Amino acid sequence: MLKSLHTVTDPLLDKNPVTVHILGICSALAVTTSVSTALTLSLALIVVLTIAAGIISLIRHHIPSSIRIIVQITIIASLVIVADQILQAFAYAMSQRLSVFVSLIATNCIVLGRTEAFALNNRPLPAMLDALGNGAGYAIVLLVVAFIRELLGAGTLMGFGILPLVAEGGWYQPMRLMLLAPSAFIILGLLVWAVRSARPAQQEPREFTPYAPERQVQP
Amino acid sequence: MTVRRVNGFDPWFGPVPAYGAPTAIIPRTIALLGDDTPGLRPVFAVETGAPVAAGETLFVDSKRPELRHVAPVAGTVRDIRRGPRRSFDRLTLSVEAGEAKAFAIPAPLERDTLVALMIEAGLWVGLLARPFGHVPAPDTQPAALFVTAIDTRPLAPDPAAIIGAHRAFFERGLAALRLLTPGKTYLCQRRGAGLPAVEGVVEAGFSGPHPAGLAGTHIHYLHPVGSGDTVWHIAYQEVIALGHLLATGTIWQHRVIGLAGDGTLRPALVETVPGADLHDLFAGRLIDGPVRLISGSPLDGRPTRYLARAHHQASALRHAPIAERRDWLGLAATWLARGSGALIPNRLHEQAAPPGLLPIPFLRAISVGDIDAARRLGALEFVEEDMALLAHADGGAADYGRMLRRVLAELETAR
Amino acid sequence: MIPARLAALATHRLTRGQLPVLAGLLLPLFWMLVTQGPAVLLRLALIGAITLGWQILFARLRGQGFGLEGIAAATIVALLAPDTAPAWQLALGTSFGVVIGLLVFGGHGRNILHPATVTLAFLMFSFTSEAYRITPELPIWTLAPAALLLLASGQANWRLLLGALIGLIGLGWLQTVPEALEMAGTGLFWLVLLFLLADPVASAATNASRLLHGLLFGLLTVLFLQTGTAISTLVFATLMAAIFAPLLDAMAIAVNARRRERRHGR
Repeated sequence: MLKSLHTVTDPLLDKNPVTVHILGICSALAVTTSVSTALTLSLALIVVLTIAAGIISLIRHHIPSSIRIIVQITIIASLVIVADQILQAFAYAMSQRLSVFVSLIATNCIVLGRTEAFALNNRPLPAMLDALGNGAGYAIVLLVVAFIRELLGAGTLMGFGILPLVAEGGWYQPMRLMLLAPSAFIILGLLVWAVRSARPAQQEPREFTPYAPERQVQP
Repeated sequence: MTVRRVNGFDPWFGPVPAYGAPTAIIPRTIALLGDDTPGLRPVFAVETGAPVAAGETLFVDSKRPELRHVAPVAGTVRDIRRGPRRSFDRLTLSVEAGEAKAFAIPAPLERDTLVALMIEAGLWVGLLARPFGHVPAPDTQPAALFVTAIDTRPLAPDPAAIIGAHRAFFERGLAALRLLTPGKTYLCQRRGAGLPAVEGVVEAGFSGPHPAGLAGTHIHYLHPVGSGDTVWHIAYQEVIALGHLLATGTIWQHRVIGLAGDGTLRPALVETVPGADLHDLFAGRLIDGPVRLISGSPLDGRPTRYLARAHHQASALRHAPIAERRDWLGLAATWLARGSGALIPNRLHEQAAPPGLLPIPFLRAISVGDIDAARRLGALEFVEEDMALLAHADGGAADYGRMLRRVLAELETAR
Repeated sequence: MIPARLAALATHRLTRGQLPVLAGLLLPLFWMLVTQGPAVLLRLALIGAITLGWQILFARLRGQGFGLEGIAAATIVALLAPDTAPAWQLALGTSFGVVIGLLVFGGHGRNILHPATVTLAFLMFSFTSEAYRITPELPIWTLAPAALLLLASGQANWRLLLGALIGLIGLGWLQTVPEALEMAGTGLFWLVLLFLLADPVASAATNASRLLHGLLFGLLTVLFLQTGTAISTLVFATLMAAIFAPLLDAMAIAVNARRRERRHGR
C-alpha cells in the first residue's frame, strides 16, 4: 500500500518528469498560454499514459525486444487518435485551440519514457499508478506555468477576468512577453531553480572543483 | 643570430637599477631551502654540528639519487628544520673557513661521466625540464637544451656583464653542456649582448619587455613542447659553476646577486655565496622604515630569509600600509575598488600573457580545475614563473601559479 | 607596449574596477538631467535601490561580495528608459535583468550578458505599447570622456569598436541603409557600444573573437535597423551578439589549439 502510494506521489515533486528529468518541455511551452488548454492537455496526457501503460504492461511478456519501441508507439498513437477524436466530438472549440498538440502527445518523451522504463517491467496496476503519478506531475507543472502566463499575459484565469486591463479602463498593462514561448522557458527555469533549492538532492554534482587555496603555513 | 621581439610589459617596481662592479660579501649563515626542489624527501649525510667541506654531500632524495645537494661553502651544520607534513624546510650552515672537496674530472668528457660528475657535485639540480618543471632524470635525453642568459625580471642584473667577468668558465661549461642532448643547444641572450660564441651552440636573441627573458618564452619560439617531447633548461650562473668545476676541480663558491628595490638606499651588485642570509646581504643598505625582504624579483620572488638557488637577485620593498592605520582616503579607495573577486578581462591580460597563450580562457580553466580545457590551451608549456606577470596584471590577488601547479600535477598523474 | 610607469597606473586597483565606467556615465547623466529634468534621478534611485537589494540578498545567501557594477547598470537603464515608464514595470524589468542577467551566474565576472542589456530587452519585449522604443537624444560629445576612460583603462577593447564600425558602415553601405551611417554619429550608438557591447565581461574573451563579435554586432544592427527604431535595434543586436560571443570564443580556442598541435607535432 505504501509502495503504491509512493509510486503515485513520487513523480509529483521528487521525481517530477518535467523539473527533474526535463522531459515533455515542448508541449509545456506551447499550451500554457491559458489554464484551460493546459488542463485539457494534461487530462488527455494522463488518460493516454495510464491506459497505454496498462495495455503495454498486460502484454509485456509477449513483445519481442527488437520491436518493442514500434509496438509501444503503435499503442500510444492509437490511444492518442482516440483521445483526439473524443475531444473533437465533445469539445470542438477546445480542440481547435489545442490544434496539433493533442496529436503530439504521441511524441511526448514522458509517455514513451514511462512505458519503456516502468510499464515494460512491472505489473499492470503499479504501471498504471506510475503513469497516473507522472501524468499528475506533468499536470502540476503545466498548471503552475499556465497560471502565471495567463494571469500576467492576459489578466484572466480560466477565462474569468482577474486583473483590470488598461484597455477596459483599469491599471494593468498585460505583458506581451508572457504570451510568447520564451516566457514559458524562463518560468520553467525559475520553477526548476525553486524546486532544486527546496530539494538539494535533485541538484546535479559539480563538474569541477574550483581552486581553494590551502592553509598557508608561516615560512 | 635570429632575434625575436616578444610582446609584454615591464611592471613598475622602480627605475631600472644601475648596477656597478660587484662587491664581495660573505654572510655568516647560509641555508639550503626545501622549496628549491619541491617534493624532496631527504636522507641526510651529515648531522647538526658536523663540519663540512665545500662540495661535501649534505642530503640526497630518498627515491631519486640525482637530487643531491652539496654544501656551497665550508662550514658547520647549524640546524636542520622540517616543514609541515614531514617535508624538508631548510638546512642552515654557518660559514667558516675550511677545505673544498676535490672532484675527479674525467679527461675525455663524455655524457655518462659528465652526468655522474654533475650529480656528485650537486649541479644536477640546476637543470629543469619542460613540461612540468621538475629536475630531469639522468637517464632521459632531452630534445634540446636551453641556456638562459637573459633576465628581464624587474630589477634583475644584466647577465652579459656577469658572464663577461667569468668568461672562461662560462665557455667551458657551455661546451660541456652540449653533451647532454642529442639535439640542439640554444644560448638565449639579449640582442647585441655579445656573449661568448661556442662552437655547436646556437645563439638566439630576444628583445622586448618581460617575459622575453623567461625560459618558457624561449622554448615556445625555438622548440615547443607539450605532447611527448622534453627539453631542459639551465640558468647562466649554473653554467659558470659547471665551468669552474671542470676547470679547477672544486665547486664555484660564489654567486653574483643584484640587490635592489625601493627599500634599499641604492642598488648594489654583490658577489656572495649561494643560499646567503638576506639579512647579512642587506645589512647597512636599507632605508629607515618597514621593509620586507624577498628572494628573487618583486614579481615572482619568495619572502624567505635565505636566497633561493634559482634566484639571481634579492629585493627589499617597502611594506604596504597596514589596513588599520590607513586614512579615510585609502579606506574609500578600498571600498570603491572592491568587487566580486572574479576575473575581469582587461587589455593588460593580453599583453602580460606568455606568447601563444589565450589568457582569459586559460585563467578561467585553471581557476576552475578544468584539466582538459587547460591542456588544450597549452598548460603543459608553462610553469609558475610564466604566470607571475599575468597574476601581477590581474591585480596580484589570485595566485595563478598555484592553480597552474594543481592542473600540472593532475596532468602528470594522467600521463 | 606600455612604458613601465603607465603600467603601474594601469594595474592600479582603482582603474580596474567600475570607477572608469561610472565616471564615463556622469556626462550623459548630466545631459539627461539638463534636458529632461530630475525624473532621471528618480528613475535612477528606484532602479538602483532594486538592483542593490537583489545584490545584497544574493551576497548574503552566497557569501560573496559585490562591487559597483549594479549601480553602473542601473545608471544605463535609467538613462535609456522613457519618462512615462510606470514604476512597477521598471521594477520588474530591473529585477529580471539583475537576477537572470547577472546574479544567477555568480555575480560580476561570471555572467555572459550585461544586466542592463537584459533589462532593456525585457522591457521592450514585454510592454510594446509603452515608449521603450522611442530613441532618447544623446549628443556624441557626451560620450567622449567615456571613450577615453574606458579605452585608457583597458576595459573597452578597441577591436570590438573597430569591428562594430566596420560591420555597421560596411553593410550599411552595401545595402544602402542611410540610417546606419547616421547612427554612427549619435551618442546613443556610442553609449551602447562602449558600455554594453564592449563590457569586458559580457563580450568575447580573445582578441580574434573580439573583432568578430564587433563585426557581428555591426551586421545585426544594420539588419535590425530596417525594421525597428534605433534603440531597440541596438539593444537586440547587443543581446544577440553577446549570446553568440561564447561560440566565437570556442572557434578562436579551437584555432589556437589546432595551431599548437601542429607546432608540437612538428
